[in-house]
Amino acid sequence: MPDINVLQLFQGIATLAASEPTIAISRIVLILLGILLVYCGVKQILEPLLMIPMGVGMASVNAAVLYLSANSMGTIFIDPLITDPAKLIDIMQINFLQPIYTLTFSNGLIACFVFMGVGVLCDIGYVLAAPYTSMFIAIMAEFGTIATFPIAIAMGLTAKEAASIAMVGCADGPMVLFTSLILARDLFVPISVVAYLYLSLTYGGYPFLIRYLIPKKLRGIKMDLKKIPRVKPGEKIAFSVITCTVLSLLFPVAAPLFMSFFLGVIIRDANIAPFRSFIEGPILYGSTFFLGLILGVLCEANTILNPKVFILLILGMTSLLLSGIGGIIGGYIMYFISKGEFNPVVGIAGVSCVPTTAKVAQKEVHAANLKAQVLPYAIGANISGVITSAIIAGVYITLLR
Amino acid sequence: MVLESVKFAFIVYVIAAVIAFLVAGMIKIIFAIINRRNSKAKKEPSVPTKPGAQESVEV
Repeated sequence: MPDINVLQLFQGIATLAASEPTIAISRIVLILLGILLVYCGVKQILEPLLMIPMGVGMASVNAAVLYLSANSMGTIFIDPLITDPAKLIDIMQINFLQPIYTLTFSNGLIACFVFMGVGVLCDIGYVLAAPYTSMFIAIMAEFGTIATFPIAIAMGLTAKEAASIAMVGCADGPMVLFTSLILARDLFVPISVVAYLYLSLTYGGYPFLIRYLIPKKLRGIKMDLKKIPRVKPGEKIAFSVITCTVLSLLFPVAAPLFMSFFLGVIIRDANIAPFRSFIEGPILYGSTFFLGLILGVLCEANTILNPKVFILLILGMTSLLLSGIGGIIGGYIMYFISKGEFNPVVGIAGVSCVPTTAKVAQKEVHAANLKAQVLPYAIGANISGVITSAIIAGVYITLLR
Repeated sequence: MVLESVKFAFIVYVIAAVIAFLVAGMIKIIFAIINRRNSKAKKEPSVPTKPGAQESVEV
């Protein structure tokens, strides 16, 4: 009978004891962070759909480090750094999440699935009702996505890395994932994690920005909803098909994003019930679940420990803050152009975190004036934000790839 | 390097803004075409074009 060695039996503890102090401490911190994310998700402080699988994955993967051979440590979850095709085939039969990572994550498919789901949820009619206003606010709310680029360069990142982290300012998870996978593959794990953590915080942080920058009197401006024209499904479909084709023609590299989003929109407006319920349910929720889980599992101390992570944390926050400020400035410009009829709070909805920022705008307006309604305008700006974010992603990827 | 990146970011912003407004313009054009077609269809009464293409009248 073999001798029983406690450390050989409990390999998670053995590898913790044998690791370098930095790695060991990071593993413990990440386990605690994972548990905290699950807690925040369950308590609805952060987005539960993402945070619960992400937190469980993060805690579990950092606990489950074992000896793969006499000299090497690792996990049997995922190996994101493997590139050799022969080794990849081998590892797919060992690491239980490797097939999902390789076949849906590293090629951007999961980002496109989420985008398709977003398309099905979006009523593009609100954009078509006031196209110039919506697009103007959305482009103003991309300020962070643009202004963070030179800041990141000044902080020592390469142009590709700078563009990837700047995309956090568009507040669109799949877009950040897609861009960083193409432009900064080495940093896509920390960038995506930073993006999703911050996106969860927009619901808590942006209301303070609105209250700080817009006085209560202006927050309570009632907008005329009767001015909004009715848009027929045929018009929405015509717009979606033409826009998808034109944008794909201009930026073929971002065509998977455009196609996924507008396909979702068209299926919604064509009222194809079986496809709609398939994309709204299994595709969107399945992708969100695996997105959260894989991101959590990728947060293994050895993978995520990078001297640039601290810089990414600062830049991600800067980008989102600047985009929020840009959106509100856009709202103020529209307020002055419309001679006081436009509620500047709508500007925050240009940051395309669908539908969170639109809901934040309506909530703040409602708190200032119980009779005020801005949701249709906010949703229009919100969906335009998705389109402008995809355009900026297309420009960055095309120019820097 | 930083100055160049500011220039680059500005160019990206201008390109994105132009395309965003192009998309907004496209919306207006599509609406104009659809509305024109609809109003034309309303103005013109439906006239039978072929002999015998009249609606059948039940007696």
